Amino acid sequence: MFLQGPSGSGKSTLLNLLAGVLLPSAGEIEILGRRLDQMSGSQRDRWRARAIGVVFQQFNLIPYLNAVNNIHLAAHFGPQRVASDAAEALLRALNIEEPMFHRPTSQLSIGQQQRVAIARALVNHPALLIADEPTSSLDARNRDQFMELLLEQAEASDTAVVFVSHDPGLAEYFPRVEALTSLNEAAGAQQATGAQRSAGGH
Amino acid sequence: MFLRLAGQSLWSRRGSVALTFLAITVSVFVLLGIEKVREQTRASFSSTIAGTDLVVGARTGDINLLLYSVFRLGTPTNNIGWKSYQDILGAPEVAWAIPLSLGDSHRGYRVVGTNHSYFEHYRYGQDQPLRLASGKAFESTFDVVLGSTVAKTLNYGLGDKLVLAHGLGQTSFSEHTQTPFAVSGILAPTGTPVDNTLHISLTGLEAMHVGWNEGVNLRANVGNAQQLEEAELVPDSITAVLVGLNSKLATFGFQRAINNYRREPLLAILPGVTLTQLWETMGAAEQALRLISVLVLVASLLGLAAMLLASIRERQREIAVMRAMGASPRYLLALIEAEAMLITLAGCLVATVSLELLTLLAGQLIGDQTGLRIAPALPTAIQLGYLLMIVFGAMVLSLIPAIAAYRQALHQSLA
Repeated sequence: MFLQGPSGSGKSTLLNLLAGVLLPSAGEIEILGRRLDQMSGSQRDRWRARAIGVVFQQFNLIPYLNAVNNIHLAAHFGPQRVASDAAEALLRALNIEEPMFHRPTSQLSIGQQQRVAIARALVNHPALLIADEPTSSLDARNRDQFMELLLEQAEASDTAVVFVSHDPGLAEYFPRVEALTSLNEAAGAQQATGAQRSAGGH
Repeated sequence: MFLRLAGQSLWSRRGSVALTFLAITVSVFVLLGIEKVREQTRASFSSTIAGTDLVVGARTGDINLLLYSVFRLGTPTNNIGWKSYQDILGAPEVAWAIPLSLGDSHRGYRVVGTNHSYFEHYRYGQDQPLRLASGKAFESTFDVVLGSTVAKTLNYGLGDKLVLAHGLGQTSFSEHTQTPFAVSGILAPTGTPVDNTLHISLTGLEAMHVGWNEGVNLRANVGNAQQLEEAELVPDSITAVLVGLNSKLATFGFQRAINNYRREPLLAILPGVTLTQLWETMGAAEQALRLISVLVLVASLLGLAAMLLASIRERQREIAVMRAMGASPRYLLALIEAEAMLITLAGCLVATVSLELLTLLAGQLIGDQTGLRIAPALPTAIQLGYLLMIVFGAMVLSLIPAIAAYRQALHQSLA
């Protein structure tokens, strides 16, 4: 799914809600069949580690860890350990050259970092991958390569992708496209009912 | 993974981490060093003398008498008459009495004039007697028995001739050149000031000073060494007496008797009691030193907390990434604490090891200079207590940056 919207349209708020970092001040939030507003903070942390992968615009990796260890760290928070072979296979599938595996990720190019970020986000086979403008710092060639690899790997691990960008040119990659501005209008209309519902519940 | 993360994180900031680590290492080193010197000084002092019930000398301070008679520190203020010594020796309560005559030296090491009772009755440590490593105790007038350190550092062997100097300085302008002494024996190491002492007979001491008056060589017409050796020389005064009694019960009574001695003013002290007084005197200085070193340590731990707190600021993105991966705020709190612990434990370890290494390397030098034996040893209970307190203090102070990371993690949104 592709979400398109200019800055200031509430993208990051939505992303934080989806990832269970922010909670709505009123109303319910249900993601992948789980009521996030009914979970404790640490339950949400565990759930996020297992069920959600995130790729940011930049700074996706712990700069002082190497690529393989970044993936291990994500697995460390997730449901199970990942063998080094699996981590390396994932990196290879994302066109990262072997010598880059064991360098601190601060030494990798932006394009390489973003690809390692895909591997890191997908290592726990999350049900949902949230991508927040991950291509905005890439050039056209890198962007196309990134999009192909992202979707290919997401499909391979059976992961749904919510992709946020202001760039309408990327919409062609996705079967479903929504504009945030129209979502906001819908939300505005629903807000009254949401408030009523939570008030009525008590 | 957790420790690797903490370790790599520190490694990525190795400049500031190294400085913080050094600050902690130095301050732990100082704190442990002071404690070690204190403990070992006490142990060394306490083991210097055993079995001696009373030390008798001229009227002076208790501590002063103990320091110059037993520890060869400071200068004797006055002498006591030979007659007094004979009276003490003749008293029915007295089992033995070792005369000590001080005031001369050889290249910075002190010379003690005494007699054979010294080798027979002097005890140190756990009631250990003196043992000759080679040779025998002095027999003729110009024999000298060396302490082990003296023999070792000045490289003397049996039969070597040496000239003693008047006074206690490292270099002396008035040397007893007419009366050289020959090494007749070398004592086994004891870890006490005995190691730094040259022992000659009272007769030898007298012979050396024949023709001298008030420390000045009058170059009067005295005989040669041969004649002096044959002369029957009796000292008219000595510096102090170490007394062993037949019964410990008599100690206080005999002490009182000596303090009331008619012929001249004398002072008798119980070495153990006076040592306790000495520790009390030094206690205040020790406390001050300890307080200063604790403050230095606190300053360095605050530096650690400040360094980590500053790092939280530059790690905002890192924290966001970890949150996205599912790290809980508590995980980040623990991570910062772990980083603080790694630095502190490394500092404690390096400080402890280097302190022991330093005592191993410099212990001999310190021993030669001061007569104190500072040896490498496993950390004592007190030192371990300090280390535990340091680690605990670091843990508490690092809560400041750790809680900052926790709050950052709790409130920061992902994008």
